[in-house]
Amino acid sequence: MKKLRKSFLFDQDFCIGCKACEVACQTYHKQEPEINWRKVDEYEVTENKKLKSVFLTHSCNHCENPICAEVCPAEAYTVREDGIVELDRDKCIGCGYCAQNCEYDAITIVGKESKAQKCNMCTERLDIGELPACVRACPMGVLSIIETNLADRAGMEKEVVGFEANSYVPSTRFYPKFVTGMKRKEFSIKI
Amino acid sequence: MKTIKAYHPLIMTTHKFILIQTITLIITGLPFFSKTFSFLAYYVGYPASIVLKNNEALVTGLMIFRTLHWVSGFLLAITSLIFAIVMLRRLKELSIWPEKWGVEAIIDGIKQMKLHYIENKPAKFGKYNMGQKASAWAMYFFVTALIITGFILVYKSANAGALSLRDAEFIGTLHSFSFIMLGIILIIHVIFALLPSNLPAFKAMFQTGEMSIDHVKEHHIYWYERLKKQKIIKDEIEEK
Repeated sequence: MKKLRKSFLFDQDFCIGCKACEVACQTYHKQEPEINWRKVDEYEVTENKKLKSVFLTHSCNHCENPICAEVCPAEAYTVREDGIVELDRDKCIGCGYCAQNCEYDAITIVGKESKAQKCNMCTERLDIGELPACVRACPMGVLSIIETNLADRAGMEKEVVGFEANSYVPSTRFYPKFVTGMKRKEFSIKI
Repeated sequence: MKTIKAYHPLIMTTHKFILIQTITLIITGLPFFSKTFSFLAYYVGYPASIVLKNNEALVTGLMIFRTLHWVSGFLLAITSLIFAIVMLRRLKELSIWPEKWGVEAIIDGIKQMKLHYIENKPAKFGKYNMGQKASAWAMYFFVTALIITGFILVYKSANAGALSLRDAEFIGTLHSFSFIMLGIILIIHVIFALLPSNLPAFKAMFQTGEMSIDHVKEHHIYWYERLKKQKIIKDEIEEK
């Protein structure tokens, strides 16, 4: 049976910017201190004439037509059946084309090996039925994994404050603003 | 046949060396320029991967190509530097400066080229015509740009955090743009060098280093006059 495309689903309204996702990712993948596959950015917006901080947690968006795979001369990137864009670091030659072309700054080549690295949606965990480290670590439950089709049918947004969808079709989806009473677990993928 | 030394041995050697380096640089750079040329890396990488037993033909090919590209670039930079230092001492004698300056001289230069290349009539040239001089300057410029941007890119590869991604992208784009421009100029340069009317110059550059005085008088009148003024032609005849 064909696997369904997976996406990160994020609720910006309830994110408190604690960076637990960022730390969990860094710890789980044993990254060097300066490397973050997942980052949390803060934005200031005006709501009802009041200044308010909103947060955006972002990593690789596992695009449908990933530019990283398109430009990689070593063909180190592959797109799995479930839409996850995987990087084979053994194949990476560190040219940096992927990092330069990714509009979301999701790829880094900083590090001891000078090779590209990015979020793999913790495929090794997903494949054994566990949630990614960032999703598990979020104390507010604002980050989850969802089937992209299901998210789209449920009216999830493709853009949010600080994030614009580009022509490479990022898979990340966002809860619509001010939707209340939604039973979130209905939309979470059963792994 | 009375001849004159047309090219200094250093120029001939450097020209041959630069030719080899440029071909190597183009071939080894193409798989990084566009994935359309990945097959080149496969050709080299496949036998190498069998020897290395790593089953990664493309990656092995790319690594070999990149090493060759860096080494060739380094050698080209060294050659160009030595050439530039030696030539700077003879800057005024070089034939890459215009015989005359100004708009009228440019219009006349174009007219002379049209006479020679299109109408096949005798034209008034120096050692090089206006097109050759312009392409020489363009080549100097783009080779310099390629060497400088190339060194920055190598430095970036060795120190991943040395440049921001946007700066690295900008330098990479400049490197690619300079390569495209140089490629176009080189194609034109080779086509013109292989024209029958340029055969004596071609032979002089790659074989003898000398050109017949009759040919110089007929095709490079300004150069002939300059040599006569400098009494070089007379000296050459006496030597023979």
